[in-house]
Amino acid sequence: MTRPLSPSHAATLGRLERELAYYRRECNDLGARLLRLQEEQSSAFREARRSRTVAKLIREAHRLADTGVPSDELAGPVLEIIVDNTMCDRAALLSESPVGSGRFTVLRAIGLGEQPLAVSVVPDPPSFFFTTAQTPLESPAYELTGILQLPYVLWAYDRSTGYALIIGNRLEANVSRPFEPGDQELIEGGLSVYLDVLARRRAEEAQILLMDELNHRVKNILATIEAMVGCSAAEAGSPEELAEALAGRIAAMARTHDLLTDARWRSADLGDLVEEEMRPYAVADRVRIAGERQPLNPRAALSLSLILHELTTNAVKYGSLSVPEGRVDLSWSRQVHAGGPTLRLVWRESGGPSVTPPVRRGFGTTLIERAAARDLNGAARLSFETAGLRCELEYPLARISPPAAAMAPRIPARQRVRDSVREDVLAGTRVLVVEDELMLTMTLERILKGVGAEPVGPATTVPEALFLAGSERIDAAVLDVNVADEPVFPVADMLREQGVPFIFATGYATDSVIPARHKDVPRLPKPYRQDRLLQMLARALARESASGDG
Amino acid sequence: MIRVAYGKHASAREAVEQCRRTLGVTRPCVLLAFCGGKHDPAVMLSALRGAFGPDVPIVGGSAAGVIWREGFGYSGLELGLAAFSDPAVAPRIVAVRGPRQNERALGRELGARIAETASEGATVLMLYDSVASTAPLRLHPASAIVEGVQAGLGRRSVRLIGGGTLTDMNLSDSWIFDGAGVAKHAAAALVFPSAVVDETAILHGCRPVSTFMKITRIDGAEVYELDGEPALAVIERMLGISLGKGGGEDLSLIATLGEKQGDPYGPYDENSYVNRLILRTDRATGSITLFEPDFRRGTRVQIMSRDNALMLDSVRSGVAAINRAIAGQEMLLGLYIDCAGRASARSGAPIEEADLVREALDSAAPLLGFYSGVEIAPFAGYSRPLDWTGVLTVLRRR
Repeated sequence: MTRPLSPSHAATLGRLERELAYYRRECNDLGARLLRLQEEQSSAFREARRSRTVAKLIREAHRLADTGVPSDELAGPVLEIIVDNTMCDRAALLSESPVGSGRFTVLRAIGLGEQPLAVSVVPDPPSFFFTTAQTPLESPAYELTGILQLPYVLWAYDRSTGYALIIGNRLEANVSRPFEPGDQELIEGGLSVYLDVLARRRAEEAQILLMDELNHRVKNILATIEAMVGCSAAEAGSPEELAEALAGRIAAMARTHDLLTDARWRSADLGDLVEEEMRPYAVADRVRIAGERQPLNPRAALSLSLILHELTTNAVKYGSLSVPEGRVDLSWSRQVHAGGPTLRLVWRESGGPSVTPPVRRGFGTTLIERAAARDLNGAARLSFETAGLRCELEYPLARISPPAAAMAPRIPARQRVRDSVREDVLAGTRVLVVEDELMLTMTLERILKGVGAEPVGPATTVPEALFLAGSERIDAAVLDVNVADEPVFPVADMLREQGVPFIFATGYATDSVIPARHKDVPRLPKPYRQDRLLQMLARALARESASGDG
Repeated sequence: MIRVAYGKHASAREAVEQCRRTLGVTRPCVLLAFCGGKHDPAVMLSALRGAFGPDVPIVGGSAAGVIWREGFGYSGLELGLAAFSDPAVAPRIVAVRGPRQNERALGRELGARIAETASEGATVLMLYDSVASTAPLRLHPASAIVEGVQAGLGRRSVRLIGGGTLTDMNLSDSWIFDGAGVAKHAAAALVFPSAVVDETAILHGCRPVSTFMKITRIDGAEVYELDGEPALAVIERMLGISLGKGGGEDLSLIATLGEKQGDPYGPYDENSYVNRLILRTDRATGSITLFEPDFRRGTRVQIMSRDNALMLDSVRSGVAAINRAIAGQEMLLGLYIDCAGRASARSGAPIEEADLVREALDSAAPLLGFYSGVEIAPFAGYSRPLDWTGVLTVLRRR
């Protein structure tokens, strides 16, 4: 049995109960405030984390470009980084083919298990899209959710390339909240970083391929030259004769290389090839050329250039072009045969010395016959007619034509020098030689000294050349465009300032490396031909002299 | 000798190969494997057997994320392995598979098998799959499994630690490797020999933000009333928001219900609280559903706020305590069973608390951890399931 509380105890108890209720109320109120503050802070950190996620994703994905992953295997690791950073349930990278068709193939997916990767059709695909519980299941939500077979997706599509990225979740409040417009940065960042890395890897792969191809070609060229030296030596009567024969043959190859480079090494036109080879003799109607435009693949172009060079050299030395009244007629046409179409070339000399068949077959004859037969599955027939040499060549068109896809538009041919200038203007001049290749400097010095000019230098670096140009008397200069891995243009600027004529010697087949302010400077392609070097230098000096006179 | 390896790749075989390269040529007697939930468990198992031998017992399961000495990840593509190659410290494996609904029976059977195998006081690591069903979402109640295990153990006393596995942080699914294969609605236990003992710390992070309330109506894990008022209304009033039409899944990111052990009016001590995460809410009934059904009518609870700063402090002090305990000992394996909700992506913590663990734990201990649904550890002399905790255990030689 409990005794009733005394009035004072009851009053104390009442006061304590009120006090307790007060503390409880305040405690709960403070607790609620703390709870909300904590949640606000967490939300802020989660949002900040998302922002960092975009930066982290981009950083990590860009690192992939340095790992050597092939471009066609990039989708997997990029997708892993995207999944890692977005914490989505599933993700896929897609490719539209053809671009603009709305037909997407899954390149790579994560979270879809072993399910077959099907083609998805998304009519008029949006560049950005997301679904929430409120999104009606109509196009494009219907198609996009179907790709990942999940109700909540986030999508980005690059219209120009046809690539798309989609991520998806089973639950709307994945980890903490549904997709929203602010996620555009995340999904588009993911897609664009994939496209960036893909483009970079593809460019690097193309460069590697190019280097391999270049290496292959250089080795082939060296092997060809090595063989040429051996064969030429066997028939040359003197070192001078050997040097001349070799220089001519190498120059013929170089000219063809230039033509092929003009067309990105896809094709060269037969007419251009002929013109390049025979230009020095095409005066006063001594060389008549007739034929339609005929593109050649690189192999055929190189082979035919050597044959044309041999025929021309022979004509100049012993045949119709060795006398003023002699002529060469060169024509070509397509023929139709049961075995397929062919190209037939006819070289006919006339007006020259009487021809008698040679006692032995020289290198030129052998080269013509074998190059035609072995290189291009063709045939060559040489007739030593009394009126002049006649050479007929016939090739299957299929063997000499470039593939249809390789028919690139030609870069306009470089301006050609035609007027002849007397080389004796070079005698007594001081010519600055800027060149870092030892063999080339020795050649240049020999050529210049041969016409009475005095080589200055050679300078093998740009600073050295600038010093010489600033301290020595210079009448003209030959500048290698790239000296010790440095552009020579500061030297060119100085010479131009001083009014000193100069020419560029360059191994580059295109003009792209020459700055606009020096586009008018004559360019001497490597390898050098003595006559061309001297002509260009003489012309530059004459022009400068004329402008000075005027 | 226990060695730890980590791999990450969309291809299970590649992830396994990465681990194999770390471990070198080895034929472990037991393999503990935690695997990101985006991997197909059958493919993963096949890859593991291909790399480490067809007969090696593989225990572990899906993980919402994996923690290792050099990092952590929760992309779903991770794989963490602990390879036991020394039979003297390798655990024996017992496992049971059971019906979806009767977790207590499952636990009892497992407990009985543990009792047959374990020495007195043995350390036992138990793993089970957390998600019982997804539509509607129902978790396997760890409290029922643990109660069953305790009942099955009979007089045998063990130090039970463990966790419930998840495939991701959204409670999408779960599975385990139980030594024989891939299993659901199953539990496996690694029973360590007496040569192995554990040092375990429970890392907390919740703070009470209310006065005591009494659960006045409850059915299983579904709490209908607190102090005679609809539980959902109480929570909403505390938060100052209406939870809207959704299932209230995001509540698990914000608040828990905590039961204080011991003297209710004693000073605040994080180690005094058992917390229960809120799985979902039901506006029609005004109820909230907890992760575990172990609270009863009359249980005095407080609403607890997850406190990230407190969590990080708890990690620092807990790891320091473990380091003191294991100093000078032969450490075999550090095992971190970390509630998925503590990852910064979910908690919003400015610092990843797993980073604190892996950086601060004595570097001589090989470390493997996984993000879990529920953690189990000895608490006040009795192993019980915990929510929103990190259970850090270091196995050492006796």
